[in-house]
Amino acid sequence: MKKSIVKVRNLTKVFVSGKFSLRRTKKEKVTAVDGISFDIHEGEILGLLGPNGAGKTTTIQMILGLITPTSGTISVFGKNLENKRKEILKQVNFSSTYTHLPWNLTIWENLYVQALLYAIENPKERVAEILKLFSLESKKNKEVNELSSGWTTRLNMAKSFLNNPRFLLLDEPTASLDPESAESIREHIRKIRRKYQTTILFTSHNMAEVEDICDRVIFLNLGKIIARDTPEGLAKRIKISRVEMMIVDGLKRLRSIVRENKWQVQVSGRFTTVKIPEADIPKFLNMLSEKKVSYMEISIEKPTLQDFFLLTASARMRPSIG
Amino acid sequence: MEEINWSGVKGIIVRHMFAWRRDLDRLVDAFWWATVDLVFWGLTSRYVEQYNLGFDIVAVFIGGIIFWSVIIGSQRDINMPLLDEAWNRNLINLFTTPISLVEMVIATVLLGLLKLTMTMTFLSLLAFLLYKYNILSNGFYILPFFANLILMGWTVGFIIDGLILRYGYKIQAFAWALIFVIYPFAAVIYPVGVLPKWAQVISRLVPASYVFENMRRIISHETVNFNELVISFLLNVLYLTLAIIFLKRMFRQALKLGKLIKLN
Repeated sequence: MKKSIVKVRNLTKVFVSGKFSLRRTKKEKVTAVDGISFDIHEGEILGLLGPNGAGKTTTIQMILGLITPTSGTISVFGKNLENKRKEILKQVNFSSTYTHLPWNLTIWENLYVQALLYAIENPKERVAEILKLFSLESKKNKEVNELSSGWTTRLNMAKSFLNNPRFLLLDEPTASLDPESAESIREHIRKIRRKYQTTILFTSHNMAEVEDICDRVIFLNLGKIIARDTPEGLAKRIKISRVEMMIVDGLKRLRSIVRENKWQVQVSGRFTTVKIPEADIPKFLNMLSEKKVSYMEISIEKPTLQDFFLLTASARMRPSIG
Repeated sequence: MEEINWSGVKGIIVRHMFAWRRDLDRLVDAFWWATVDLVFWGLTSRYVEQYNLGFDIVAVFIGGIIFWSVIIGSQRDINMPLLDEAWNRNLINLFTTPISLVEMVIATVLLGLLKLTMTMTFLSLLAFLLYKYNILSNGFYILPFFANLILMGWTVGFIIDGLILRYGYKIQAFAWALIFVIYPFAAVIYPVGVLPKWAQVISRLVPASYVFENMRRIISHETVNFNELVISFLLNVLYLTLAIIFLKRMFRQALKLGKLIKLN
């Protein structure tokens, strides 16, 4: 078994917000992260998922030392983050859609400054390497404010690989990108991971992306971990498949079959979708044949991580799943 | 004692120097407002000069303005890098590098000194050209004068940085006004003696007041009271130490309350 690069134990963050009034200060407590524990193994890409407000970003920010935990411990490379922060951060990097590098500096200047901040040896040579790796050479003299969001994201990613980090945190790195640019960023992540075996903590709202990139997923809701598994494993927990078909004759008979078996049906235009437990699919197809329901263009969609996400997020489930 | 990452310190300095090359705001900060003050008060003093007050009123005004610019400039140069990073939404990028608060403070101080040297050289030349005021006429004392004023500017700057980290942008207006609370007690143009008694007590707690009093002594060809400059220095060391402790506490509070993220 691969060794743990990051160990998070009983991590809790309670935010106390004070509403000042002349009579007294009313204090409200919000638990953003509620006693979570997990490990990230060497070379692994771990996805941190959950709906808005689940505690993903707070967790990442605590791992980066930007927020002090209320309780619990974080150790990275076997060192306690609380007292070895500086030492740890030399081998860590971070990229997020929601942070920016200084807009009035060029790509080269920004990367050079970052290389100095990380005390990288031969910073100019390293910047040249990174520019090449991320195909940024042709734009190196452009100021950040002249770049499209795709190029800005690419620059953020390039910055995050400057110090050749052992552990990288990517917070929604492809949010707000068009599909082509997002795929290009994903390709870079795959390439870098293959080349350097970097350990990555990854968050995204794009479930297909998470399924594509992550080895393992932790699902947070209301500050707690409610599931942890491979993306496929999580998807399998949803037992309902979708059978989509175009009914040529017998829509009423189909509705009656669905009603009798307490399945669900949805008719949209020419297509009918039946939501059905995976194990019941053969039975359903037999019944269609028996009742002489004629159909064409049938397709069966297996549950995906997206289904798990939607079900969990909408139900605001407590740890009953997984 | 932590080991200083000098490469990181250089990184912060270089980052702002790159920005200076293109950012007109920084040039305006460094030269424009101080020039406006110098011209305005220079003309005012020339007007007052004709009433023959028995001392060199132009030197008092121009000297006062230049030395006050040292305080304002030192304070601003401590605050601008932090605000610049927050406005650029770069604070998170910065604090996820192996840079400590101490290294940021060192870089900010060095950067401030560099910028202040440029501003003061320019203002001194301008004062000489326009009003024949020679700042070097303060002789050796220019060193303790400058040192005390810079230390006071840094003190106010660090307190403002602490307030901004802890309370965010909503404190900005108050933060910028803080230095002007001290202004009347610093006795920039007038002697401490003209202040009401209670204000004189406060004035004696303001390190800059000793500098301005002694600047006027030099202009009036009186003997400089070196003890006062020592008192000014000791007060500055005390205040600066407290300001740095305050900044560190506010930084810790900002991390605890998640304010650094909100500032970004």
